[in-house]
Amino acid sequence: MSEPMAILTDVTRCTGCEKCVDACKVEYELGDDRPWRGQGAIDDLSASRFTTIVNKPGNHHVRQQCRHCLEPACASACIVGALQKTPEGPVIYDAKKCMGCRYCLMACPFDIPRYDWDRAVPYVRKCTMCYDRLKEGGIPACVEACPEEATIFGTRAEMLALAKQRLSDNPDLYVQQVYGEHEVGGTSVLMIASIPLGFLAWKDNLGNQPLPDLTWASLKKVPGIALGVGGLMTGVYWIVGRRMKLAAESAEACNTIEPTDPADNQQQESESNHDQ
Amino acid sequence: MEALIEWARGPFFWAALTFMVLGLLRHLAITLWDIFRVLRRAGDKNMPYKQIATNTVKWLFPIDKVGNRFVLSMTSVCFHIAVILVPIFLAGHIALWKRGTSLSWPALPNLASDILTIIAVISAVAIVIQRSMAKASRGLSRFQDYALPLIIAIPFATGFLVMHPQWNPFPFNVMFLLHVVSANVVLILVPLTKISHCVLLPLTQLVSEVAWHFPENAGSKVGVALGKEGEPI
Amino acid sequence: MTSRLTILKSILWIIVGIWAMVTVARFTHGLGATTNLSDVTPWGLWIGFDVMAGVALAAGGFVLAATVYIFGLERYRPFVRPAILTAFLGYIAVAVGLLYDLGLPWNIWHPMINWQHHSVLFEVAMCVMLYLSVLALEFAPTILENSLFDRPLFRRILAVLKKVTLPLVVAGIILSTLHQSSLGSLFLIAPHRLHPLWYSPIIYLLFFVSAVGLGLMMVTLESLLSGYFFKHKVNTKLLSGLGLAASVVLGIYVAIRVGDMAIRGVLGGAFEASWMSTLFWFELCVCAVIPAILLAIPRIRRSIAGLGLCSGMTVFGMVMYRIDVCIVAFARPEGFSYFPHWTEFAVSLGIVAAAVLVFIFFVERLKVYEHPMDQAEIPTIGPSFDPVTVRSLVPAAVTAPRRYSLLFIVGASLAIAFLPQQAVLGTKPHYTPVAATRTIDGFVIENEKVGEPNTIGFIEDVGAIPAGAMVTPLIIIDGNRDGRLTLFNHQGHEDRLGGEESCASCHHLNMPMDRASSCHECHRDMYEPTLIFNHESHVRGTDGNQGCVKCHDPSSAVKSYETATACRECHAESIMSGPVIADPEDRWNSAVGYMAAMHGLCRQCHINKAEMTPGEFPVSLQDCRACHNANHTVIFSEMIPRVKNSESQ
Repeated sequence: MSEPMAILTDVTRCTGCEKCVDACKVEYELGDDRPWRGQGAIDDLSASRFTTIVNKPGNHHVRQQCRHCLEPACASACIVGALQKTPEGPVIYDAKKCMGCRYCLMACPFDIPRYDWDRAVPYVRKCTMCYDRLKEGGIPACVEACPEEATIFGTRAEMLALAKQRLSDNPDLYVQQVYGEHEVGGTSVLMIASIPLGFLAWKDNLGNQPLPDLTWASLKKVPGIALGVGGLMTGVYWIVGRRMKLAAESAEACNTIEPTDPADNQQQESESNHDQ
Repeated sequence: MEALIEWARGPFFWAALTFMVLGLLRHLAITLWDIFRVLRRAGDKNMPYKQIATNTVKWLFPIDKVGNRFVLSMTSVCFHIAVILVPIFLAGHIALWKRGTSLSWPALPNLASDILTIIAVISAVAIVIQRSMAKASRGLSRFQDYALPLIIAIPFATGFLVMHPQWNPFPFNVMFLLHVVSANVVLILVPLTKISHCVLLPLTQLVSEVAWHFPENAGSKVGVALGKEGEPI
Repeated sequence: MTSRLTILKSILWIIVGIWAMVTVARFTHGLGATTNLSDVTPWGLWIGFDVMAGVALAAGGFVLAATVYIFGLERYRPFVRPAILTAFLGYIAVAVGLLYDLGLPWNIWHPMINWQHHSVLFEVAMCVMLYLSVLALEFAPTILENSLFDRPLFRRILAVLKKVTLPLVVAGIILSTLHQSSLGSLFLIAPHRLHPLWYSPIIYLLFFVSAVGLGLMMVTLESLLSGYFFKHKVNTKLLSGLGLAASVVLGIYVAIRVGDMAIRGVLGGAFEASWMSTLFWFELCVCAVIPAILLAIPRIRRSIAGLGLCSGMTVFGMVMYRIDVCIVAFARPEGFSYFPHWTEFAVSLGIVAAAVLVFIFFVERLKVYEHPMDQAEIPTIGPSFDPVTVRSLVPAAVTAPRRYSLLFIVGASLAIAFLPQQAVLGTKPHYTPVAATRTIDGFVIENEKVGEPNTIGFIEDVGAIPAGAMVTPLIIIDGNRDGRLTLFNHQGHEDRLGGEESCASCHHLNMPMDRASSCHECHRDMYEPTLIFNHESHVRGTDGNQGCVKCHDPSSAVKSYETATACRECHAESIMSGPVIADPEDRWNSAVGYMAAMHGLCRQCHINKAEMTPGEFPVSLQDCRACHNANHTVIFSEMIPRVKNSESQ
């Protein structure tokens, strides 16, 4: 199964029963919520809650979870490659590689990765789209648990087509946007709803440009800068050295006492310093 | 009052305990380093190590010296036994340790603790009286020699009253606060005063043993005898 | 006797003592216990100050190396060694600070084996690592010159090192350029979070130029300070040259920063009346504008006071720039703020203090500055045999460690006293205040058809009460303590369970003689198992201190809850049978959390009923949606603010 998979969440069907949350907690043995400062910032994801329901006025229950971006900012930021985008779709985390720099928390536009703040050996915790289940041909635990089929699983192409089908079938109900089709280059979790879903991210409109591109624009200059600075410095050294040498030679040749030589200048100055 | 007690048995206690432990470790390290330095500088290859060791151990338990001043010696022995045993092996203290750190060890029976506490208080007073009565020791005594036994007696006296509220004429909380604060003060005083002999004793003994073993006939010309004439001591 | 240097060292040793204890707490109980970091502020003071600002403050090393070795301005050579030493210690401090901040510091070597060319942080890590090695090699000659290393092997190494100075300097400049700028590039990936006044596609250029300016000013400040503490003459003539260079560089920095904003059209944001724009102007003025202008005036840059003021401002301002980018201007949701815990400050200051102490150590023993240091300022103390007062025959070099070790211990004890409980005993979940069940004015219109749901509304929503409505206070409960309320039909439950006599089947299943006291009277913290026992009232009820023996067996040595008589020995008749929530054998002295209690109570009861009488109670009642359904939850979640108001009245 190397075809990119995706989760489609239809917010209009969600009743907010949190069966998905429970299923997730069982699957990953997350235990009781460990409340921590900062939890409930824009949702109540935490190191012990990979997915949650954000309730919005007007009977809207919006599921928050990792979006599994097609070009994930977290994976591009990761210094050791602990976060990886798999061909199947999930962005997975390798705790053995992680060194705990938390740059992924800084980089994620959806504020998804959370940290084991209360542990002496902390890891980054986030949804992995049940990658282990996918490899065995299964579907994510949350999708399996949903009693309303509000959140479903399939190939990304299928899900996108289905989402668009629903949008066109019911144009009055839905906001005419598949959230995740283009955002930050597209995500593997698609959402349709009757309210705008911009609140799920740090900014209402994240734009369609993949975030790693922004970094790459500066990173690709690194070899050039390294060579350029190296060359420049060597060049300057050579020129300065040559000029000093020439000046010294000419001073010697003329045999004058005039202190035109920078080395002499230096000597004089240091002498005057001693006088002070 | 409750807040004060909480502070005294919480942060203040931890600070005092840390200060005592680290302070004693510091004394140990410095004294060991000094001994090492002195030995190296003296350069005496014929140090009678066996004799030094036996003398050091002997002075740790000066049983044969008890006869010199029997009453004072016995008071002092009682005082030391009580002062060391009660704080460490009092059942209530062990319960506190267990609650805070889940460490515990066997406790003294409460009756034994009570008796030892009374002994500690009485012998502390007795030590001070005897010290001030005898002319010889009066000349050697500093202020802290009189003050320390009395200061150490305070947590014992207040602790006894805390344990037996029926005999306590003062408000319970006041006694309790006094007990905790005075105990903390004693902990802080340990590394700053001569109470530090609790860990330093074998080492100071060792130092003086080493110092007494200059070469024979060294006389006033120690430097010459050691072959270190002209060097700073 | 107490020279400036002694006082400085004494203060530094106290800080180091505090730092040592915080270190123990940090590595035994983790980041959460010793910092105020959270998921919305993943990078705090330790990254903002120790790493970001620390690297920038150490920029003097490569700037001065370039000035002297590459540009041949030999007259600045006296500054090179101190600058290199500062840079070396600065980068070690950065590495140490990073060890504190990393969640898994023992994995700090992982970037060396897992190369991630697409990660800016990877580039920074590699450059810093290599540059630290370069600095070590650049500084090594200063150590090897010491008479201690006057052996053939070391002399040969020294000769080799002197020969490779130039390649080392060039490598150092390349690496510095790359990582000084890349520290800015780190934030390119977060345009959604970094404030537009600080975010810029060329932020790496700003970081680099500001680092050069800061490096020059840091060298100046350091010369002034070491002149003050070591009491040697400060060469203001040379420093004024550095000042002029800094003036130009800082001017360029301002030009790029403002110009870039103007070109991108975000400069307008700087003139809005907001906290952020004020901060922006303050920071820009302090770090660059004012120092650049002042340093351009010859009279000012030739005076010690002028140089001190300008370098101090730049250092402060540039540190602030780093911290602003990393913390202050980095968005967090409304209502969430971050201010470092004192333990965070203690670690940051402790690392700096330790670095300064090492700096002083090297300066006193090696030829870092050209002027020789004053030796043996402290007179020998007279002899005494008291090991306690630590007096001895030895010179200052030996007595000083005694003073400093004592101060170290004082600092350590102070730190222990003030460490937060979580840092000593580990993290506990946060305190969650508990409010009683709330009521709100509403009305019920009874449905004529039996079995169909009644219409429920709130007076404030509708305005006028519809005809036939029955005004009643509606009970709402918030089982998860998350502000998501649901309606609770108290009357219905009461009626069905058998009137007033049924109270005890829900309320207070374990408490003696209690009918309807609210939970928070005993369970002060919802997430923490607490003692459900009021000792004070028991003391009062058993004739004060005389009653101890009634519960505490006199033969038991210690009076604690573990050795006391069990509650049911006395209160057997008043404890309800068949408690639903907690297993009394298992956790007889602790209370369950609010959510578990509420949910356990509701759901367990419904499950039991459905099992016992399947006909009467539908199975679906145990489902979440029995309570958390559209009709209830949603309306109430909209009403949270109003509910809060009514509570405060």
